[in-house]
Amino acid sequence: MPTQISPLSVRRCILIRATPERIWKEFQSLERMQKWFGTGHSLVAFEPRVGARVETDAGSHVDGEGLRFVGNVTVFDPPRELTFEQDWVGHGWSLPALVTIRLTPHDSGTLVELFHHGFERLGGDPAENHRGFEGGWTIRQLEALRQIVEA
Amino acid sequence: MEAVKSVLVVRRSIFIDAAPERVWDEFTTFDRMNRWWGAIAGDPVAGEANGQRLVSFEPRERAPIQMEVGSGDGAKLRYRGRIDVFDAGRELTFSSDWIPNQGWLAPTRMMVRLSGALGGTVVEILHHGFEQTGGNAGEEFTRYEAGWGMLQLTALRDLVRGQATVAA
Repeated sequence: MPTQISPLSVRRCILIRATPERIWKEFQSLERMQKWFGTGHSLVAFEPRVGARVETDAGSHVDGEGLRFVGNVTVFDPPRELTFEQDWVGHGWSLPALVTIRLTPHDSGTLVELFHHGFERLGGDPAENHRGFEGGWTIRQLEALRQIVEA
Repeated sequence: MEAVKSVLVVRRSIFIDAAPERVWDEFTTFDRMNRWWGAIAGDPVAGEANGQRLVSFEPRERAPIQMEVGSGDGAKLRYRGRIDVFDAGRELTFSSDWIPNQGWLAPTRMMVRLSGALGGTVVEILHHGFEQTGGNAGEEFTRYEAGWGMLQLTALRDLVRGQATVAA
């Protein structure tokens, strides 16, 4: 069952000229994931299975706070959805946010959507967390995925 | 309320700690719209997330709306449309195409949607309808997905909060 996207969500999207099955190959190992999802930040840990640990590291915030995020894969549904938790290490969130990457066939290609969501459950100031990430996400990762697949 | 039939949708969103009716107050005159929809940071340039100038706007359906950005080489680029939905407290939707037309077969659609949630309002900008433009809709969509930022929505939030932090 697809993960439900919460109201406080960030969405970035791209259309790739390939089937979902072809694109999903880039989800199947740490090394392949690093080439696209690991751009803009480091993808430190990933395994293509439910329960596996995912870790990203984006260096440090302007105030010096580390930007390391950890969580477990909650959905690994080839070639439709990857969802994993994303807890900001040391930031005191009550529960982790979620990252969902969804593949949907569209017009002989595939729509790839990246959602960062679940900000309602973090505690603290969910709106400010949501606004911060809405301002921070680009399509860098999705563009890298497109270039790999369409090369 | 207009349904978003398009799949190629750019979405930016913000949560504002106020009722939709209060947020909508900022949609009800040219001057109020200009303070957030026309918010700029420096000289606005097409494809960059530093805003747009609001040239014309009237708070009613079938009214024209027009915006302007720079081309990056000193020229000005304008785009315009017609307001198709002006549904107080819920939705503003208008068409958007370049002046002069740059080859799009049909204009894109711009929706600003307000939804009551979590004791406040989620405001979404949904720029969609790229499938109708002809040519390589995917490439066209990607340019806009990369170009939209949070300037307008942050300015709207600050206005509702009583803080005007972004120059218009």
